[in-house]
Formats: sequence, structure tokens, C-alpha cells
Amino acid sequence: MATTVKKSVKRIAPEKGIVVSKKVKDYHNDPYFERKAKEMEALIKEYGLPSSSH
Amino acid sequence: MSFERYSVASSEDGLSFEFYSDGPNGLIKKIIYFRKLEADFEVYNLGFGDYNKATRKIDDLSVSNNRDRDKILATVAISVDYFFAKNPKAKVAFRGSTPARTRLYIMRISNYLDLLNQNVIIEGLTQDGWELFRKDRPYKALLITKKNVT
Repeated sequence: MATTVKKSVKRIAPEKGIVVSKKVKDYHNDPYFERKAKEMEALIKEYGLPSSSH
Repeated sequence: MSFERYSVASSEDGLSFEFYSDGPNGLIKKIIYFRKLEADFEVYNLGFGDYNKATRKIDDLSVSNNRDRDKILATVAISVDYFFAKNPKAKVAFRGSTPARTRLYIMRISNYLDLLNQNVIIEGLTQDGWELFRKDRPYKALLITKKNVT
């Protein structure tokens, strides 16, 4: 696993410990994250957002 | 103050993050994804789950028992920080996959509230609506906004 990450390193934000990698998948169309977002949308639809957030 | 955490790999757009929990039950791939909500384009849902090798799907109900809960939470926190660095005007909404996990997040935020309050505004959702986060309250969901945005 470590080798895979090293090979895919593009740039590093050392202060954050984050490696930017092309190998990290785009999860936008993943059904799990889509479902989670819809659940949150339903909550926000019911309760709105904090007034400070408008 | 520094916390032990895992190295994280991020996608180029800064919305997807992957790391591995390493403990008694082996390596477990963890995935974080910030998904923009259709209802409000400044609000992103923070989704977090385990990649299940057997099903090739992500789920959030498994209990990995890798004895690294705080290290995982610190890793998620640093990913949120990185996300805000790229999206300073965004708001991040999240909750646990179960009420127990939401309570765990609330407890951990309560422990470090003074530290967190230096950089972000945290609001909690109650039956009566949103309020500024107060320690150990039973929130349904949480919303984080970065401070000092001009």
C-alpha cells in the first residue's frame, strides 16, 4: 500500500500530511455517498440552515 | 497541540480522501467524500465509510475494532481542515451513521471545543432547529463553517 501511494505522489502539503494523488477515485457517483447526501438534504429541507449560514 | 493521525491521499479536486486504518484487524481502507448538496451549493455533506473488499462497496455500519478511533477521527479532522483550505466559504454538514456514532462525534468535539472554536464555527441541529454547539448536547447533525472568511 505504501509503495502505491509513493508512486502516485504528485505534490504534498506537508503541514497537513495530505498527499494529492491521481489514484484517489472520484466518489461523486458512488451510491453510498449519494444516499448520505440525500439524507442530509432531507434534514436540511426539514429544519433549514442556521441563520448565520444564509 | 498535535494528534496522531494517518497519512491521507486526496484527489486532485480535494473532495475525496483515502487512508488506511492499521490495527489488530489489519489494514482497513477508509474513505471520506465531501459531496455538494443539491439543495444548497455551499453545503457539503461529509460522508465517511469503510471500503468493503468482499462487496466492493462502501459501508458505514461495520465495526473495525482496530483500536484507533481517535487516530481515525484526527485524520478525518485534518481532511476537513484541508477541504476548508481549498473551499473556505463552504459549510460541512455531517452526522454519524447511527445515533451512537453521532454521540461519539459530539463527545470528541466537546473535548476539543476550545481548540476547534479558534478556527471554525460549529452548529448543532436539535428538535427546535440549529444552535451554536454546546458541549454534550444530543444533536441530530452538525454543521461546520470556517471562521475569518472575507
